[in-house]
Amino acid sequence: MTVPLLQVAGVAKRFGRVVTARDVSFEVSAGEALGLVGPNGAGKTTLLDIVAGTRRADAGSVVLDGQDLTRLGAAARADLGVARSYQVPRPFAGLTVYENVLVGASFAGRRHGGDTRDRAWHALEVTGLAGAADTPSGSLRLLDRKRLEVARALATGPRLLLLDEIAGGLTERELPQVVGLVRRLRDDGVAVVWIEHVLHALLDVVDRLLCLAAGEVIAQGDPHEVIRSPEVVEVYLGSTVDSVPGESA
Amino acid sequence: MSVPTVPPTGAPTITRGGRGSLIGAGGLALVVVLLAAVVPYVVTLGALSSLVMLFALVILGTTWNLLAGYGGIVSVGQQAYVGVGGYALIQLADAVGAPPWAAVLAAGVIGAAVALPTSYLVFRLAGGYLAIGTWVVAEVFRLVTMQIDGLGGGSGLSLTAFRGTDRVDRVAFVYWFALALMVAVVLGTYLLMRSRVGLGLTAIRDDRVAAGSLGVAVDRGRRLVYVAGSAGAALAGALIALSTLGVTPGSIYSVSWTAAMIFIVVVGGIGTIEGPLVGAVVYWALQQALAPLGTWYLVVLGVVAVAVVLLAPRGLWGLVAGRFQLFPTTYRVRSGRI
Repeated sequence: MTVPLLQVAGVAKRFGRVVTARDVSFEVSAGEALGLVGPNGAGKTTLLDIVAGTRRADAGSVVLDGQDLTRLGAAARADLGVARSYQVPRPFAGLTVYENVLVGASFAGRRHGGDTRDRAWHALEVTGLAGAADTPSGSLRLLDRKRLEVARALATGPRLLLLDEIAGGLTERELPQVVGLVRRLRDDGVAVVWIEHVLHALLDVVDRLLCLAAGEVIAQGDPHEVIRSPEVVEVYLGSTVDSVPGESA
Repeated sequence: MSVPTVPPTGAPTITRGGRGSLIGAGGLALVVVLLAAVVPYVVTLGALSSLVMLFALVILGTTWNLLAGYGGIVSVGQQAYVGVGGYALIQLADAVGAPPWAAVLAAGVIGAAVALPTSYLVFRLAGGYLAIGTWVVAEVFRLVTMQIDGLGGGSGLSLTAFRGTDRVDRVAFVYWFALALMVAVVLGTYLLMRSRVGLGLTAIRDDRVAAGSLGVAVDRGRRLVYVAGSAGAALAGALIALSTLGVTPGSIYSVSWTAAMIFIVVVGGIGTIEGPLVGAVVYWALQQALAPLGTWYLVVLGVVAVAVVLLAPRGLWGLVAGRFQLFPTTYRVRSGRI
């Protein structure tokens, strides 16, 4: 049996009296995509923050490929191959789109050697941003800012890619592009953790689904089984069982 | 979708600056040559001394811009290092007996050495608190200096190393040395900002969290900027002491140095290499022209600052920066299809 690339064990985090993670454990293998769902405030983004190192957990551990990341900061984790996108985009507003991506390629991406400019350009091409390379990133529309989030993360050449709601707001024509991109990355051997509210896009790609509610894992496993389990239906979908994608498809 | 998805044919060419930049750089090099080879022989000694002040202002503006414009560290306490540089110069030149040029360079190193531990204190603060905190640090430096008898207490120190040196030789030496130092600081800052480190610093300025997620060592980058910027302020302080032949705690640790730096950077254009050059010339020219007006000079400076901020929020250089860069730090992509 192969050792999973990412092992998260017993993670706990609270902000005052609000618990955003309680004994959360999960694993993701290389070449596997894990979907992360749950109602607003369930602690999905906090969990991503803890894996990426932008937030410290109160307890628990994060291990990447056998190496304990728990005490490392975000930059050190990025250097080891952890990349993420932010739900609310954080472009370097004073830099162009190309320069934004070049930051990822020439810092965390530098461990790969080779030409950083080529890697930056490649990341722009696969995310469809190449035509906007010289645009000041501060003047991008929201959707292109989200693309830029993904492009910057890709430019680092990640082993583990953490995506936070990159499909919301996309049109039905654009969704397959994003789904295709995630599938391609996964098939290239990247481990993907993807938070997404656009369920049918998520279910098109992910191998497993994890549902969080109030900081706790309430279901984990085969996506279609998770989405149909009574606990998930109750806390996450409420009474809208009829609209479960995959049911109607 | 606002972005064309058709991939450009052919690999892109990345350019950094064009013919305009080369011509501009040539023009600037010519100015430096004129300043070095012609100006000293046609103007008065007093004018040379006042040009030394201009060069010191360029260094101050350039290094404050490094802090605020590239590192995102808005310090109001850089006079701490102007003072350290000034005192270090006089102690090294007089008490230790180092040659003045070596004493100035060593003063810069001392400024860096003091800034490194101070950064651990200052970086515990953020935003407006950091600004005030740095000012407090500068006041502490001034008060401590005044308590040390060997540093002349409240009346300061005079530079005696030049006693017996001909006045013309002294002013000429200080002038050329200050010019060389200014060129080195501006070029060094430009090369730093053009490098990979500079790209990382700009990322830190725009979004610290995102920069960290892409592998930029945020704390180390900010510390580098603070130490380098403070070393620059110490160099300028040493030059000022060298040119004015003395320091007093009240003047060399004066917050008006930092006020001048902020004026220079904001009026010239923050976040550009060229901005502080423009701003320093404006500040220095106003200082020269308005000296007879006394206090009114400050009023005029204030009016100019307000006018520039309102009419050209990105500074005077910001008016042309979109079309032309003397010191190109940016990347432009020219893909095969253009």
